[in-house]
Amino acid sequence: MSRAELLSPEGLRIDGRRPAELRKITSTTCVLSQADGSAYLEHGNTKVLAAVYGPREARHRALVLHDRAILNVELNVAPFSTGERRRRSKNDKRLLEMASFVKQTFEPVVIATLYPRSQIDIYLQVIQHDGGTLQACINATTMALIDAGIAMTDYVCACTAGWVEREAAIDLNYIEESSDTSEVTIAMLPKSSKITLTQMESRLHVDKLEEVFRLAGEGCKQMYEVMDKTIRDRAEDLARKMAV
Amino acid sequence: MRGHGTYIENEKVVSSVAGVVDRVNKLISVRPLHTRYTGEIGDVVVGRITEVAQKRWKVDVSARQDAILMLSSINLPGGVQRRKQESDELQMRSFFMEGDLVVAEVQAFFGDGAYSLHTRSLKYGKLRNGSFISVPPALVQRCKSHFHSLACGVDVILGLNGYIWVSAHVPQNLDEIDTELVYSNKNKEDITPRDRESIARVGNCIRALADEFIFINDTIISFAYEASLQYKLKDMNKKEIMHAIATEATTAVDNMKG
Amino acid sequence: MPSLISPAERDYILKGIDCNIRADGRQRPDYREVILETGVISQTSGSARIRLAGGTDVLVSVKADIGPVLVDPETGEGADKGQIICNVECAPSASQQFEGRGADELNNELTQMMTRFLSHNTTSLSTSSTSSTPASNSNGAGGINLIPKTEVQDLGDGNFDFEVLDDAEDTEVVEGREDMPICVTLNKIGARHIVDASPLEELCTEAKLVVAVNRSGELCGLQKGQDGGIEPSLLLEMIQFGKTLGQTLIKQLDAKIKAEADADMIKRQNGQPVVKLGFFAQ
Repeated sequence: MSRAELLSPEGLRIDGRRPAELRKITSTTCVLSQADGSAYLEHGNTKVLAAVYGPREARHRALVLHDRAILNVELNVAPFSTGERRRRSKNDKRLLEMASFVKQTFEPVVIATLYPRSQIDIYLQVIQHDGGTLQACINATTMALIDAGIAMTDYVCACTAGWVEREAAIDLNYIEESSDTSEVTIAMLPKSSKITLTQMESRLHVDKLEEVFRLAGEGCKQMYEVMDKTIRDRAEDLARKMAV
Repeated sequence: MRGHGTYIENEKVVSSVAGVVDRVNKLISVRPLHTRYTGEIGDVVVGRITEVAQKRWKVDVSARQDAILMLSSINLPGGVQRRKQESDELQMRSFFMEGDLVVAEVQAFFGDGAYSLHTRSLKYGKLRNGSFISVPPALVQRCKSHFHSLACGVDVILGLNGYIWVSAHVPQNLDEIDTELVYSNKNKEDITPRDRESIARVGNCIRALADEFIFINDTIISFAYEASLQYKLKDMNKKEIMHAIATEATTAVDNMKG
Repeated sequence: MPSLISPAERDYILKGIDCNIRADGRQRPDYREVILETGVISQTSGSARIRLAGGTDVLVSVKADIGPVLVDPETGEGADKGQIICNVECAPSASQQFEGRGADELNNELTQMMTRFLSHNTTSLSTSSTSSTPASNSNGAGGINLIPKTEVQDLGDGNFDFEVLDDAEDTEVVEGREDMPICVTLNKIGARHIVDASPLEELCTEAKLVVAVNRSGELCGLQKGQDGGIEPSLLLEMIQFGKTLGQTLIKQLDAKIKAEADADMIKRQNGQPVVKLGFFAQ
């Protein structure tokens, strides 16, 4: 994959987007009838399903905290989610690391002191993988937690950003990710603009850092709009139905 | 002043959940629409025993933690006022075993928010002769009584925690209840196929209402039951039919109110 | 969903099944409503999503890969036949029991079973040495009762582009899909058997029988599960019943798939976009 193809002379990316443009995002909540809260999110072709169970009785007595809830995240990637079929074991280090990122991101945001001695389980399922899995997981988890009625101080919106050829770009897809571009994932609380997660894996020149971060912040704000709209629509729908 | 579902930041009251705003005088709270059961003292709940422990049972009531039913809070067979003996502690499984369904009332809260239940009235206790349905807790409203006897010969117990018990009608004369049989596991002998059909029908009506997120009380269940009589029992599992029944029931309730 | 059941409920369900009125009003051979949709995952050769009205959700996908093929050294057979590798996963988002390692046993059991059932069916493709790989993920409520080897898997090399539909090289439907078997799971409760058990009925099941049958009524596989026993006479009855039911199901599935394909074709001809609902379907 020659690098020249990632950004056309007119400034369009491989899939025709402008650098500061997000992919098409569709989302919906309450997809699983068994879970207390659930959400399904699509960033273009990356599809993630999040299910939240809880707060509920903690299963392992030893881990119970007397004054707050414990957060438990499990991440599962379907074998058919990437281009080639790949079977990943549950203990794959990469998956465990991603799961722990999600957990760290939400621990300061969920008001766990309201639910002592209980457990909140978050199960993530990646159905299709086309770049930006961590950001999709975080966004889906936010929506699922809200759907479950769990108190949080703010939404958590995540966005990837990187330096593609000559420009900073957001929401990188699989091709952009796997070529030599640097990529950073940022999770942000939109109201206060505080960042709760930063994760970067490749090299990025310090001069370009500020631009990339700024663009990522913009991307997060855009995500927030989309997610908020879905949640509000759903809540209004429910409120209307229940006001019989 | 702020109530549940909110928190204070920079001297402003901010909502922490997605839901409906309740304003009572100066108390602002936000009620999430889709949440686990949060109860009040005096609530009637249906629960399933999950564990038998020292002098108490743990009961799953679809809340944030399992509720506790103490040995001292149940009626012991052989007379309502019988004193607790040591042998009772050793025989706890002869009263309630894991998996049993009970209807009980919330007596108090423990410090960490778990509920303490009691079954100290003869209308509470072990459930028999029917089947169990689970709906979102938000759909069951508080009303005077949660024990309903429908016209079709079916008894319904609407637990405020969303657990519902639909059973065959057992004529109960509270004075003559034989306290020995209160903890038996045997269903009554003569549940006819007619009864079973009615129970199944009522169960499906409740499920249809729950799917459409409509409030559940005895009036709307009766309307839904009548609306469902035109359909065959086994068709009642289909989405369009469930939707039709739910809509008819809601219209009937609106007509009644209007 | 409860993993416990009270003796009173168990007795009620048992007697109900005995007189052919199940707890939700169905009769013993009745299935719940099935919603089926194909082509929900764009990166695979073929995929499908099946939902049962009670809340069981299964996602299936097929990928065609190039890979080595087992060739019988003596007769040289098999060089022109394909191979099917299966993988079943129960996602923890499906049920509490599946978190952590809880689902491993169930995964293994289902994977082995599906591999056995499908491997007899050699899909002979015109290009040699290809292996098709179905993998399914299930978000299930209270157990997977119907494991359809849905024909949608057989949209093997699916039709991506309308214009090249006639181009036999680019896209072709996997041959031999007519022989794909369908599985029917029967639960033995008391002295009777039922299909499509609800979660509570599953808890009362003494033994399970999975019968795989194909379009022509041939038995492709049999598997008994759980620790109860089945009397031989009841066993024969269940197999027979499973076979008839399986054939009916195949016909219904065929009809549904054809209807969907027809509807898609009409939409394409009218220039309307074919939008797959996927998880957005209610």
